[in-house]
Amino acid sequence: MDHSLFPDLTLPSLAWQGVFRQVGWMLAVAVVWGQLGPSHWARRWWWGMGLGVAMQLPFLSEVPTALALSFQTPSLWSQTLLATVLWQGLRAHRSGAGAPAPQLLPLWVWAITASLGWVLLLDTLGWTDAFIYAWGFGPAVPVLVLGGCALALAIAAWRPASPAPIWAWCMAGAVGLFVLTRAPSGNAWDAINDPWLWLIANGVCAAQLWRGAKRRITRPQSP
Amino acid sequence: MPQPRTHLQRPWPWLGLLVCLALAAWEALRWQATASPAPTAALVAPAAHTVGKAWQMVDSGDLPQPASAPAAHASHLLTLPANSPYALAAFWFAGERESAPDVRIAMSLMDRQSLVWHTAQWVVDRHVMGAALGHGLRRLGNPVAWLDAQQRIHLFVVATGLGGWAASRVLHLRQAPHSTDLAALQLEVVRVLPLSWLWNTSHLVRNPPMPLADGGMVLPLHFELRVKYPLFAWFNDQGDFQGLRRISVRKDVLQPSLLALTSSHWLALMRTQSMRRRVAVVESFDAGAHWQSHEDLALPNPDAALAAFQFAPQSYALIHHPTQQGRQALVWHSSSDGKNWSQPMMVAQGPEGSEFSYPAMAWTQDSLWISYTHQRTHIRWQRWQATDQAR
Repeated sequence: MDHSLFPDLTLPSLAWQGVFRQVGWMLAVAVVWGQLGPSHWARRWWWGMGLGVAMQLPFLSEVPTALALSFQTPSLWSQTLLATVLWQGLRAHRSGAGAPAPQLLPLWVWAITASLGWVLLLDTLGWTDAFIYAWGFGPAVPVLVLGGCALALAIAAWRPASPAPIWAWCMAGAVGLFVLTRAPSGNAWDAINDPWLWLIANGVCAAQLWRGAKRRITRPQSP
Repeated sequence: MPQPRTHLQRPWPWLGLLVCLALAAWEALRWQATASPAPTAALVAPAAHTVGKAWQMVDSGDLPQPASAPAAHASHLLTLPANSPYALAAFWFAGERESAPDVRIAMSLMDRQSLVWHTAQWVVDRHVMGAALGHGLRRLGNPVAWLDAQQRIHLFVVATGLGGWAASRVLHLRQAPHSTDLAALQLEVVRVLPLSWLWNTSHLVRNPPMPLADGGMVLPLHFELRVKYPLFAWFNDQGDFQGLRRISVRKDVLQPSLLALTSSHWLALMRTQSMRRRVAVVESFDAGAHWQSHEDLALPNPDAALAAFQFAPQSYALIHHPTQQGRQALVWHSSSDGKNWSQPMMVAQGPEGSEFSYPAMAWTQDSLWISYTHQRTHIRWQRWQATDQAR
C-alpha cells in the first residue's frame, strides 16, 4: 500500500486522504455537539471536542467510518470553517461569554457557496454541456480562488479600519492545503465545497430571505 | 486615546496575501511543468491477419467457479504478457447473488501451454479493501483489469457506499510490489477514483480500457443516478490518473465500449435505455475532447451490456443481444468502420427467460476468447479461430 505523502502530483495519497477524513469528521461532530448542546451547559464545546477526539478510539471509530462510507470527506473549506467555529466556541467559554454567535460568513459568501453547489449538482446530474467538475483537476480553480483571497486580504491590509475577513483566511487555508496535499480527492471543487456545506448555505440564504420578507410584510404602513 | 494603526502596522493580512500569491504561482508553475498531453489512442492490431477471414468456434467451457458461490456475473478478460506462464486472466464477481454482502472478485488464470483454466482464487474482498481505504465498502461489482508499462495488473472494481448501485464508486487497485506470482495475486488499494462532487456517488465501470500511444489507457465509465451518461478517465503508462471527460450529453446511455478508428477518431458504442432500444453510438474526431451524437445503430439493445473489440484498424467485432427484449441470445457482428455491421453470427442461444449476458473479449494464442455470464450461475468461455475460408 502506498503511504507516501507525495506519490504523484495529481491525486492525494491514501495517507493524506485518511488524515483529512478523520480530522474533518472529528471537527464536524465537535461543532454539531457544541452548537446543538443546551446553551446553559457551559462546557458543551469542550465536550464536543472531546467527543470528536474520542472518535479516533477503536470503540467509536465506526462513527467516522460510517460517515465517510456515505459522505466521503468534508471539503477543506468546511473543515477550516468548522475549526474556526470550534475555536470561537472554546474561546467564548474561556472568556466567560455566552454562546458564540459571530457572523462567520457574510451573506454574499453563503450565496456564492449555495450557487456554486447548485452548479456542481446540475453538472453531476448531466444538465450542463460543459463538464465543470473536470475543471477541478486543473490549475485554474485553485489559482483563481487564491487570487480572490489575496485580493480580499490586500483590501483588509490597506484599510486598517476593517478587519481581515474570516472567510478569506479560511478559504486561503483550505485552498493552500489543497495545493500542498491535493486532499481530499485531488479535485479542487471537492476542496472548496461539499453537499453538506451547500445544504447549510441554502438554509442560511433561505432563512435570510424569509426574515427579509417577514420584515417587509410586518412593516407598519405609512398613513 | 490610542492612535489608529496604519496599514504597515498590520502584518498578518500582508503575510497572508504573500502566501496566497506564492501558492497560486507554485500551482500554476507546477501544472506547466507536469501537464500531460491530450490522450492519443494506440492503433492496436492484435489480429491483423484475420481480416476478411471466416471464424469458427474451436473450444468452449465454463470457468472454474469458486466453491460456495452460487452466482457469477460480469466477467472481464485480460491478455497477459508473453513472458508469463499464463496467457489470460479472467475476473468476475461471485457470491450468493448480485449485490449480496458476500460477493467478492474471483480470478482464474489460463495456462499458456495447456490452455487449461486454473482453479479460481479470490482477489478482492470488500472487508480487506474497506479496511485499507479507511471507510469500508458495502458491495462489490464489475471488475475491469489493465496492465501498465511495468506489467503490473491494475483492477478497477465497482464498490458501493450507502445504497445500491446508484451509490457506486470506482475502486482502483494495483498488483502489490511483492506479489510476483499471479497464482497468488495480491492487490493493494490505490484509491477511490474522484468522479463526482455529489459524495462521489453513482459512477460505475464495465468495459475494458482503450490503449493509448504513450502506454496509458482510457477507462470508460458511466453515471447512473436517475439519468445515465457516459464518461471516461485516462491514465498514464504507470496508471496515474490524468483527467476526466464526458462522452455524451445524452442521458439514457451507459457502459460505453470504445474503439479507435485512428489515433484521434474514436467511437463509443453504448447500451441504451431509450424507447428505441437500439445500440447507441457517438463519435469523436479530437481524441475524446468533443463528441458528436448519431442516430442509434440498426442493432437492437434490450438495455443490456455489449462488448466491442479491435482486431486491427478497420476491423472490429461487436457482441450483443440480437433482440429488444430479453438476454437469451448473444451474437457477433464484424465491421470495418464501427457503424455498419455484418450479418450476425450466433455466440450463445437458449430458451426465452434464459440469460447469456455481459460479454467480454480478448486476443491471445492466435485466438479470440469470449466470456459471458451463463444463467447468472457461472461464466462460460469460448475460443474462436479464423479459418482460411474467406468470409
